[in-house]
Amino acid sequence: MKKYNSFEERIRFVAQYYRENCFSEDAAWKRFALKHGIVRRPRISFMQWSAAAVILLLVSFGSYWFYNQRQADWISESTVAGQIKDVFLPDSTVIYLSENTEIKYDRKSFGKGSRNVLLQGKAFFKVKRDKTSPFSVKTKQTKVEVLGTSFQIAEYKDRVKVDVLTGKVRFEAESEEVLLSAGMGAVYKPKENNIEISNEIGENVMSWKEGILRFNHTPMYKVVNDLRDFYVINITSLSEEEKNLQLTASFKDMSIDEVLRIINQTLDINLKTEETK
Amino acid sequence: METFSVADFEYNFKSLYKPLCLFALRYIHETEDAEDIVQQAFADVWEKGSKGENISNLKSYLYQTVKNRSLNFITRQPLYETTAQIPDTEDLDEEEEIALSERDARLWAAIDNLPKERRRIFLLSKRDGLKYQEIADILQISVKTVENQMGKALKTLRNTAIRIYLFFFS
Repeated sequence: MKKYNSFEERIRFVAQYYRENCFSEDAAWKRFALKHGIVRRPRISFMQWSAAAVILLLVSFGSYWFYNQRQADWISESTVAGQIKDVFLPDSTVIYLSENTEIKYDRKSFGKGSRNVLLQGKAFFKVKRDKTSPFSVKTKQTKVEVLGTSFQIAEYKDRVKVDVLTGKVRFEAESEEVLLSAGMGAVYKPKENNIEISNEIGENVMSWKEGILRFNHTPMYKVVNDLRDFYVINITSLSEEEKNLQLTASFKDMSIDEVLRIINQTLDINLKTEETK
Repeated sequence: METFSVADFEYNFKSLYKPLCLFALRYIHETEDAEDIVQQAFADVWEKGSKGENISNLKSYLYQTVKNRSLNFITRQPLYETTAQIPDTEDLDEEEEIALSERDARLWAAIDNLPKERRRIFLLSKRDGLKYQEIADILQISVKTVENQMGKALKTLRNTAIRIYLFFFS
């Protein structure tokens, strides 16, 4: 009995018959199951069920968390035609919305390393200074980034106009960017893909807010531009001589027809409104 | 009567299959014949289970069935009688027979798990009875390498065997 039980003897015995892939339990079971028509789903052990459950749980919590983190909580403020509105942001920045304007910001990320506001239309910003959290305003085609300042962005069909009242802003459009300081303005025209800087901003940048248009020895071509923006109308073109006529006047809560009548009488010219295109 | 579970049956099949095959090999000398006999033994159990018959000691029943079928197989094959190979474990009792077969099955599985080249050298030596020098010539490697590989293979198998002994006596 000792002899059969020895290691050497068992090795000899097993090796004598050994063949690769022989006596495979899985293959044998397949053969058996096939012959006896046994169809069974793969056995899923308790451990496997538990592991699957844990993984499912982790994945669900993970995605929920991820989704929650990612999910922006948009706060939006908007105005309709003829309406203006003051909006106060959580950082005590104030935004004055002009008519037909919408701003949006994500309540979750606002003030956490950045303050991003999306703008459609025209608005004046009085930004609370915060070095740790740059303030930026994005329109469809441009971006304005500031630290603490007051400025206005107006988005028109063919251009985006920025006017800076205090502080400094960085104005970005497509591939260009410019730095603007107080008293400077810039216009971006997508068609020309070009930012144009002006070193003076008009008296009437805030006219829509105050309802007052002021002109002080202002050349007529500028007057016409301001009237266009303020009343959202088109005005017949000026002749070369007319362009350089100067106007000093102030209009409060007057209709465009009244305003034009006064200007025409004062300067002896003939301005008319045109159908807006 | 216990409900007849396919899952339990599959589990028993897979854990008892290899030891039963090695048990059958002590009577008959073809692995394919051994596998057929073990398959038939399980088929017996399956049929009994399907009919609702209860087998109190499945393991013992299977070993007995494989033994009977193997002896039957030998007597039906005159070829084997001429070789007159009497099973070499005739004097062991049932428990020892089962333990021996389970150990052999472990060794078989351990050979399965040897690295490919090492297994090849091991089999050339232990199965085909080649001398180390002959193996070295066939595989075009040094005798030292053959010795080295054989030493490692035997160590692995011996460890397998020792572990089983420990388990057995504890």
